[in-house]
Amino acid sequence: MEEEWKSKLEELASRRQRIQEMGGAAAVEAQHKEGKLTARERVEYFFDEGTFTEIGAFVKNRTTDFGMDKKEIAAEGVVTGYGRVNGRLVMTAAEDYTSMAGTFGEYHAKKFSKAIDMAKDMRIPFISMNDSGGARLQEGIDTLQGYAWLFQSQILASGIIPQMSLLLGPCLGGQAYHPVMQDFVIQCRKTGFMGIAGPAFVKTQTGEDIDLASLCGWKAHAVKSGQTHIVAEDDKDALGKAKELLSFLPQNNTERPPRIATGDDAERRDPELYKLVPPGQSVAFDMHKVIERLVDNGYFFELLKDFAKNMIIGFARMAGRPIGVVANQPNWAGGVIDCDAADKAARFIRFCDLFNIPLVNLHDVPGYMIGSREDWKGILRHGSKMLFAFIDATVPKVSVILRKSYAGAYLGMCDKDTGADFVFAWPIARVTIVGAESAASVIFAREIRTAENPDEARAARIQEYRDRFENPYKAAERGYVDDVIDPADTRRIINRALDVLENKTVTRPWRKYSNITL
Amino acid sequence: MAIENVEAPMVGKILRVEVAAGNQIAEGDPICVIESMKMENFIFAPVSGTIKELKVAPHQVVQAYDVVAVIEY
Repeated sequence: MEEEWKSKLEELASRRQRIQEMGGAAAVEAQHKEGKLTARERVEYFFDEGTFTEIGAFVKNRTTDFGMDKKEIAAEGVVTGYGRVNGRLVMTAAEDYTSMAGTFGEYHAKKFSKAIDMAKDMRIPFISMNDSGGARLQEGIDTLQGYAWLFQSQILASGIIPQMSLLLGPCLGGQAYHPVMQDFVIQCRKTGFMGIAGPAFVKTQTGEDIDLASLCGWKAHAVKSGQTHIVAEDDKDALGKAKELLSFLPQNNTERPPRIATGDDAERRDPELYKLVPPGQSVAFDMHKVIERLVDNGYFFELLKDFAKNMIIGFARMAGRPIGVVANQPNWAGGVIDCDAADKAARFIRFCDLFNIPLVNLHDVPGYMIGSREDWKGILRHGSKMLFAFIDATVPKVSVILRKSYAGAYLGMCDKDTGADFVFAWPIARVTIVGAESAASVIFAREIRTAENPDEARAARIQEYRDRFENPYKAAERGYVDDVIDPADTRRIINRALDVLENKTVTRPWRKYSNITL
Repeated sequence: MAIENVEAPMVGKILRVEVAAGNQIAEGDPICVIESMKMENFIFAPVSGTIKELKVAPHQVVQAYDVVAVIEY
């Protein structure tokens, strides 16, 4: 080889080598000591072997203030590029805490937002691996502006490609808007932190004394704020869960999610369901068990499982098709829909609609939560998000009323005229506007008051109302319920409905979007 | 030892209390039953431990997020 070629290639190799070493051996060791992988190890683990291609490894900031011109920051503290996950292309930006703490500056931001732009233009999912010490304050307004680039890129990509964030380290301050504005957030139990401000800033500004884990840890978001969809045990678990989640999703909003052979008979009958759901309306049961019997191989990928537990959402497959499940949970707060439960369901329904994932809705709901606390919190505003989401959605929607579906919640959980293509009911279902007690005491108030024996009159009228309306047949007579079904046939009936809905098309007049009650 | 405050998920009336102070309790065991919205709602222990304090009795009305029991674990 010519001498000049040799030296040029050696220079390239040595420059690349320095970048590959990230923040150096000591910083890498410190990262490992915390139980974390480095950005490059994460990328290596995440993508199919040897498929990752890096973009912009040599990008460098242009700051000269505060000695920044003398500092080497490998890859500007964020590794960006693309590779294959189970054969499908995915773009990533992985922050490197070992290089100047993965701080977010102008060119870090440029790399990050350009990766999202490219994912959007190439119509492939985007995954961010967040692990950053926060804003690079040395770069002042350029750092602040960088947040705007990031937010703009991700919001303009929202609804076009699936986006998810893995909180593998800290993500605090303005940057923390980035994960929550993606479609899904996966947070590491011990090392992932997210918050609008860390404990020190909170202390100086408000006087509140709180530690990082309480303020920004997994409980803060998976249980309290409802922003973390999945809690992972460590980096590898988080990366594995992200891959699992991707398997349910299409590459972009013009594709269908991948249908696979699951080996579970689409027509399988399941008499076990009789045992799982008590016919007594006031007795609770665990809806998870029902979902597991209905879907392929009992495999249910639940999201937000520790937040608003009265509502269950998640992905599963039926006859190999990815579906979104929206179900009430009678085991928690009676399955009543409150503000948080409605928010949780509504955003999930809209995600499924954006990415062509059919919805299967399981009703067992006493109503929307009433009383001053929820009314003042805006249950009407929050509750109606479900109406907007279901009615606006054009994907196939199949509802099954297991036991009861009352009042506004019957509409909010998707009935025949709030978006469902099919509504099926079990023979024990009660579908009506209010319980018989309330109805009879209003309709027959005067009669009961003036009766010789008011208690007897009330009981008779309650029974009359119950016989007339607290069953699925009244709704079926009008066609609001398409069929009253044997519970054991539920899986077969949902699968047949999804078959016929496969090529469902909806045309509506143009509008920018509906004015959802945000 | 850590403390877990078990909160009521919703407003309602305490129908039954299934444990007493000092009892050992396993995660998932029922603590009490709240009647609300026509439903009997079980409140389950979120962790295994000892009931340090029981803050409710039958017929009492509780608000959402009221502490019904304190578990030491």
